Amino acid sequence: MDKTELENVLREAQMGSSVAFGRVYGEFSTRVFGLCRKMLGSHAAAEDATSEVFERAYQALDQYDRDRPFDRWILTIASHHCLNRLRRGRLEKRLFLDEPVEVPAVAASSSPLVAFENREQRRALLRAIDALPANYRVPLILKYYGDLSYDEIADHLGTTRNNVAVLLHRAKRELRGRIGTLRKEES
Amino acid sequence: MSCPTELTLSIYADGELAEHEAHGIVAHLGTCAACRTLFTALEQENAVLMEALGEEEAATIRLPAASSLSSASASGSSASSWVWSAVAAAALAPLMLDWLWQATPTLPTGVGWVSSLGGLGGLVSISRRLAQLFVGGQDMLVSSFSFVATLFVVLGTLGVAAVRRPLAGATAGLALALLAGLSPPSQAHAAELRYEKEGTVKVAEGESIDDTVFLAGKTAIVAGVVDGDVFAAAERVEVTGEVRGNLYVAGETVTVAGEVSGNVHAAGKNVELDTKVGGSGFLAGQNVVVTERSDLARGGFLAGESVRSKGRVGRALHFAAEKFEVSGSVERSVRGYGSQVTISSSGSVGGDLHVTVPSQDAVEVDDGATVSGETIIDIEEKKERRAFLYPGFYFGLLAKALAMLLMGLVLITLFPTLLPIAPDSSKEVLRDMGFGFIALVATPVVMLIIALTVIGIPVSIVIGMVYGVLLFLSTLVVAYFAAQRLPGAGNRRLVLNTAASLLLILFVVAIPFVGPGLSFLVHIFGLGCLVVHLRNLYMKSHGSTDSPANQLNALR
Repeated sequence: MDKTELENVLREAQMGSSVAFGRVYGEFSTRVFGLCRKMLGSHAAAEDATSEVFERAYQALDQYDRDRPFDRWILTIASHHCLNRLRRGRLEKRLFLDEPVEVPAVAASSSPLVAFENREQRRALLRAIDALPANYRVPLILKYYGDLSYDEIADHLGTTRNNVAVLLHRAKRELRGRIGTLRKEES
Repeated sequence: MSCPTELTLSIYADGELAEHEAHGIVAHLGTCAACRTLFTALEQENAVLMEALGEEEAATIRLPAASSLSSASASGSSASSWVWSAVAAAALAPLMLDWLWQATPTLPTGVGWVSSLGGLGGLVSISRRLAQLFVGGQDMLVSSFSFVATLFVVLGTLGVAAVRRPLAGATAGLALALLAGLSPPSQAHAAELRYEKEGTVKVAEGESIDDTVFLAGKTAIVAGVVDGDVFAAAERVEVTGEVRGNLYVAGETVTVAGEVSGNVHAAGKNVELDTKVGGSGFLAGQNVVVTERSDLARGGFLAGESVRSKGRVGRALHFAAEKFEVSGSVERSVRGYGSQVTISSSGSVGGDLHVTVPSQDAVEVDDGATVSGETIIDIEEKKERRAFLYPGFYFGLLAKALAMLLMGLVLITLFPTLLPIAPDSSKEVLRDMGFGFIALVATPVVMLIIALTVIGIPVSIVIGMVYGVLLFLSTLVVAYFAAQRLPGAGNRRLVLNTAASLLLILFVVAIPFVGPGLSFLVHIFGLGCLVVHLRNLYMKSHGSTDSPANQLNALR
């Protein structure tokens, strides 16, 4: 769907056309699913979340401001939804409080993250991301998959912009450490 | 200026540093090589993260068997995908059979001819019989066809929805478009769609919708008032409210107890009608009951294993059933096919009673029952056919296989691009089957509608020919795919292997009971592969267009 077509479809959907909304679903479900999958860590939970997100989007469609990019809007809904889910499941409160974590210091300049040649290694990286604690994983995914800004992420997590920067920075450091250890084990 | 912290650089790499700070960093990076290296590494890291995260999409959607075995040998992984397809086909087969009203073993005499014919034959003769049965006029004919098509499309959609969601989006769109095109012309406004995969969808009591309503879910309930048509597909469908348009429902259990002003089209395992219907009733299922309180003002068309009509039918009643019983009143004639027909003591028929049954004593008119017109009983002779015993059957098989093979060879010699590519995952197999199913069912309907315009008759004939050829070749396509999987299949032996698998398939689909179901699967799979392949060829030659289906493919 190109831009004008998307605009038309969105307008129709806002006017209540469910066929148009079906097309919107077709267009964005993969990305929404991807985000949910990464944030929640399970295929089944992500499937449920995806349909709930679209249900919510359908209800809130008239609040959508057409000047904003639609993918941002729906991904925002999706991440809100996933966060709520995560919060509901025991992780509550602790989730985004700052807590120091011990990681082996690996300088970013010699980051093992950079050298990713093949699929297998990428997959290992994804596994490592999945294994990160939620307080690191969520901002990382929102930033590098959801493409949200620091402000948007801060808004979501109920924290400050600075803290987001710190969380991201630490998340990457942690990741470097884990991948580095992995590499060492391999060799 | 001293070196910025790694954190600051990280923020800058994310493009989130405030402008005045960013200026300082740019200047610093120009002079400090160490920071430059660090910054480049951070940027590269970001790129890697984005790429890896973005890539996962394809990985998550792939079915577990295919991805976990991708490191195994090529033949191993393709074999596994075929195992998957076989499992899927095996799972689909009983479903399909169930939906054909538990096809062969308990098939009503009225539709018993299905068992003796394969997929295409069955379809053709269903249409022929429908045409015979629905002599009520062109309108009836069209609406019955649209009904059948509607049902199949809805069911197909639900089936596909269970397999994969985004695809369901496209299919649902297609189905909705078809439905919208087929439904009798109500006011053209946007429809109301309610969909819930596992839960209950309902039009609540007190709710009033001035629109066409589509409901799909595990349970669908209409308790409110709908001033338009209602389309519902669910395991259990209950209509207790009022429907002012037509009602189209499909489900395992269908109960219609609310008033319907238009026609009722219902199919399911158990179908119960317990209300006044302003139009006709088209009911099909294993058990079909029209209760005492019912009133079908404009006649009824009932089909199923056990069909009972206890209410009033304002006009003629047509039926096709194993067991058929009338205990209510029918104002005009009763016409149909069955193996046991009973008019009980409280039943009355205003016109003729004309039935086609296997033997004279299969018709029972109880004392006290009234038939105002004539009673005509046609005896349908059961022909014992054991094709396997006659050599002619094997010659026929050979001749058919040769004809298909030759036609296929000629076609691919003339147009080499027509040779379809075997689907390489079970997901694709299911997708192809879905497309095949829709093409199989929708094409005759489209042909009929075009033909009704009279000017469109030549177009309709051309479509029919293409359809016929594709259906004919669909078996060959499946045989060809199967041949590719045979061990040691070199290019030279491919034709020979294809011929062998073709013979095997043709033989298998001729087996009674199992044959028709398999034949159906083979046809929809082959047809689907051809349709998808032709579409791909068309796309390639015309550049990419913006059809939703294409979009979805691109997304995958």
